[in-house]
Amino acid sequence: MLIRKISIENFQSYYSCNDMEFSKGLNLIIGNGGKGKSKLFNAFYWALFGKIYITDIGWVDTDLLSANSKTNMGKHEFINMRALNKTPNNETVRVSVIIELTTKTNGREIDYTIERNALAKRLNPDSWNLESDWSVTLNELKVSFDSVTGTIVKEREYAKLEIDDLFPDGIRDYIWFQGESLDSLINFRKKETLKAAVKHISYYPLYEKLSQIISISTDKIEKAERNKTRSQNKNNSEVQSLVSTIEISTIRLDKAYKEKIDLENDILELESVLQKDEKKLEGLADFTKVVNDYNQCEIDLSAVKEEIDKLDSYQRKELPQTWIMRGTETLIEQSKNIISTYTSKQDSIPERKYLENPGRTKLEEILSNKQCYVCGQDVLIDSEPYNTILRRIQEQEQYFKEFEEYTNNLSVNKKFERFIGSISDYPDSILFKLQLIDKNFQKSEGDINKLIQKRKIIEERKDKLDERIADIKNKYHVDVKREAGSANIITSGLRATRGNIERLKRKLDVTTKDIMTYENEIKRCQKDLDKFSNTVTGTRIPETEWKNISEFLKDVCRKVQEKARKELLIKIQIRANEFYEKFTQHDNGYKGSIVIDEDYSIAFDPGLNTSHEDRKKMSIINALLSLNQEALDIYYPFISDAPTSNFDNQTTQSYLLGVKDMFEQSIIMTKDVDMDKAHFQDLKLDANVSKIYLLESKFFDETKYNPEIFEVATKISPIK
Amino acid sequence: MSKIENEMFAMIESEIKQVLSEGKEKRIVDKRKTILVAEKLVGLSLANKEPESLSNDYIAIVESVCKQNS
Repeated sequence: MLIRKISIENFQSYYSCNDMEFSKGLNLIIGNGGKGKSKLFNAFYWALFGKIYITDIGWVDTDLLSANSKTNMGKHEFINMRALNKTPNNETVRVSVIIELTTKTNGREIDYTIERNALAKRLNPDSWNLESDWSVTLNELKVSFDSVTGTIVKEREYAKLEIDDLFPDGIRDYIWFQGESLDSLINFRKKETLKAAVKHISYYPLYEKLSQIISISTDKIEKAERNKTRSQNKNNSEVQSLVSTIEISTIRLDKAYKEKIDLENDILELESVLQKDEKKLEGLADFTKVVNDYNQCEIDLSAVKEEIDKLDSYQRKELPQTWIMRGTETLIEQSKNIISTYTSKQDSIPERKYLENPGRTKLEEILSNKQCYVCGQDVLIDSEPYNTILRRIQEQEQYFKEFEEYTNNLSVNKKFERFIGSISDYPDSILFKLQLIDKNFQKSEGDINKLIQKRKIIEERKDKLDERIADIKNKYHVDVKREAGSANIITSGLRATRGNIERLKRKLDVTTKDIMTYENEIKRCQKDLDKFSNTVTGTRIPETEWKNISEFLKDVCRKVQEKARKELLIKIQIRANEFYEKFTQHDNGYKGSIVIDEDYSIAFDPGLNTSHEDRKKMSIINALLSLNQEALDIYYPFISDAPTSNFDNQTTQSYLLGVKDMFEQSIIMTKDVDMDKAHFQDLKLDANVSKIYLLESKFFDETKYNPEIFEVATKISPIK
Repeated sequence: MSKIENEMFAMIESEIKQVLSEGKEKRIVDKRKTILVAEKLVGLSLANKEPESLSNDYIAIVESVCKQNS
């Protein structure tokens, strides 16, 4: 099979129409994070199977997307954001992916065109990025191909059946390969993973099928033979009884075999659960500190947030008050001046003691006697003392006048005085309060800034812990954050699982014994029947050739099947080591080798790092795929998104060099290629490297709207 | 014949010959006919059908081969 072209229209980061052509050999798609590699991988997968990959969730059918479900993704969100944004109200936007490929069947090449599309109609003139703003149709699949009778077009379920024929279900995960899923495909601690891989991507199931055909056939032949014996001995009750016993035992044997298979599968499943839980528990124990730190970060963050909220609400309350008071500042100053003027005026009231002694009568007596009554000095008219006393009398008159006036207004004055007294401190206290508010406001500003800084530090710490937790999840499949505190639940789960396994094993022992009993019973009856056939009373049923040949072939096929299984595991080991050698050729240190046992277990090497482990796993998968391709002469394109994040540039380079000769066609998306280095130029010139594309961001308008969301799209630049 | 078909048949043929040459097989079987049936059986296993349905094809084949003269 050869993928020739993909056309992507308005799908995820691909705006409008985008084409990419592919050829035999290695097709390399280079792009940094967020440039559209995984979206391209999604485009392939969506066109064929209607699903997109969502981190931490897996493959999700786009028809089932919902903002309210665990996907947390609206129905419209797999459509390009810019295309949605540009679509006017009541208009429709189309999303489609078309794959063109060629297959070879019985020496004849057939061209296929696979198209999946959906339409989204905008329902809201004012908003475009909410799920409720769009009516999205269910996606539609169409497969067309040439046949001797002309072009055949299949749609919906019929088209799906055609895809299932082209890409059998079991093989998909291995040929549509994503770095994230590597551990679930091959796991050194779970031999079932290699067993499953052999079942899905090797020719071994053909040997199983061979044994199944011959086994079913011999059962049918035996039954036919027994019926013949029974009909020829219909009057002989002993023969009838033996035949009936064989038949009943055969039915019981079939049932017991089925039960045995079910029990073995249940045990395997439970053992896998047990292994997973044990690993989880191990992970939880090892990473308790990480979880504690993480929880502490959350507590700290929450405390800081609470403080910020408190200060924020204080500012919200104080801010209007401050503004109002700022407006009245001038009025307060004016009031202060008025009070001050009144107080100084009040201070200027004449002093009574000076004016009252000597009194007016004594002063007039001096003037009339022209002599001072105290010292006896003469006071002549127009003399200095005379004029002084006269001025004093006038001043006294003036004072009395003023005093009378003052006395007359005394009660009013007293009230006013009290009022002034009571408000005289107001302006100062208001101004003081205003300063205090200003001071507190500035302090709160400072505190908020300090808290924001603190929050930033905690968030950085939390981000680092998040990365650590993601690493743990990747490596150990333990969501320590979610599972924290669930150690007790896991422990009791482990106990229950162990108990269930023991119970099932006991049941399996009983079933195995039953099988032996039924088999012995059948053998005994068969032997008796054979003996009986040779006696004079019974009718001899001669050994038939078809039965003998079939039973003989059944034994042969069983032996050959087991031999083929062991040989295949040896071949996988040899081929995987060849690949591993290629993928690690630049490593000088210890890298070990791949060792596979007869029971599908792969030797775990504790001396290796994750990158080497990943290379081993990929070598095994690639060995299986390449052996299968050679044996069946069926070539699937190997499509891989980010081989694995554990590879550095040099390892990726070695990997690409290995892959390019391994598959008839491979499409690899990676970020780990240094285009400036000489070895990239070598790769570019290599004849087996047919196409190289660079994925970059295309910005439409960096100033308007939100360039991060919908003003950016993937730009495809062909390099080779 | 594809590579896998050759490989499968070669293994079965070799096993048949070995068992019969050792003289351990109690059942009386004709080597030529057995190999012929085995070859057809391998062909059947590559067909895109379920084993249950292929067993009917096998029975027809084995009956037909057994009718031939040794």
